[in-house]
Amino acid sequence: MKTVYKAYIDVEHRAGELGLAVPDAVWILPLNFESMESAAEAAYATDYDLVVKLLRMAGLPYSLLESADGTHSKLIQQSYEFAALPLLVFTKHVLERNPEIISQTLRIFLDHFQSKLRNDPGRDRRIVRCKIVKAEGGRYVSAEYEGSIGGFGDFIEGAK
Amino acid sequence: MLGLGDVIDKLAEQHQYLYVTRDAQVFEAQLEVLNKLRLDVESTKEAFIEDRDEEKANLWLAVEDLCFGVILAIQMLCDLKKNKPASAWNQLVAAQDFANWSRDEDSSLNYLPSKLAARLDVLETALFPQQQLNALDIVAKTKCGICGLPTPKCNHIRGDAYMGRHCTETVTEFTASHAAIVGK
Repeated sequence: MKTVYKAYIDVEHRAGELGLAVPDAVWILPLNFESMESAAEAAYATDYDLVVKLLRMAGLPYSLLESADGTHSKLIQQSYEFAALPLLVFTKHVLERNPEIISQTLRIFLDHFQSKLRNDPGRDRRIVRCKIVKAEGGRYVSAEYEGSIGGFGDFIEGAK
Repeated sequence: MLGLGDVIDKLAEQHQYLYVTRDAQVFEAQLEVLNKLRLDVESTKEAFIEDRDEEKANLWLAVEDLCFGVILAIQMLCDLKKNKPASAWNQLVAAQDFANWSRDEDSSLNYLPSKLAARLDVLETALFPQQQLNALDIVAKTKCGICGLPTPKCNHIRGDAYMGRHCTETVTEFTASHAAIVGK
């Protein structure tokens, strides 16, 4: 398992280029947010729908980019993956209002994974992929995790 | 209405048949027994759905999944005996899905779903070459199998059980741009 931390593009500037307004909530974005030329090119991770449902049921504020009819591009997960989550962006304003929002969000997913795999003896081999982007000291950084459910708790601690 | 203990005992007995060295006629005889049992299990589940007893309806859905898992596993071995490897592979994949779906109720079912899933993993490794689907890029419009709403508009979670039915995600429209399949 591993977490890769990198500098990320300026989210506000990128949103402006695409003609998008930065929401005052957890922003659920396509994996190709950095490179897509328009919202029509957005390509989402397999578990985009799951993430939306879990956040909605938990009452956490979130915002989407998708078209109103629910059409979206999906990259079907690789066979070894248990879950592939979409890009989650936490802007400075969102983090100032709720400094715990990253861990609150990721813990919802962890609880769900643990519940789904509670009877699976092979759960240590199930791989989760998750990438978050957060405002930090006037810039944006990304934290990308690929590893087992067991290591996801450490990812939450490191990412928050 | 069936008793859970009796059904579990009958399904547990079936594990002794999950060996490729058994005769095809033995497999076919067991398939006949299991298909009858599966229909009885379905009737029991439907009775609980009619009573709006979601907990028991979901438990019997798990039993039904386990029945399907065992049936498909035996069908897979039967297909191999008849020199139908492609069909056998499809039966194996479906059997693994049913075993995994059933696993949510594992402790109520004497851990048979986990035992079946483990047995199927062994059979996959022993009987088939390793295969890997790498990626498929599609643009999809999907709807929920429980309520019919476009996903992600509803709160039903794919794979979870709701009143004796699994939530599935049905693709209503799609275009595929590329697929990558890698074999070893």
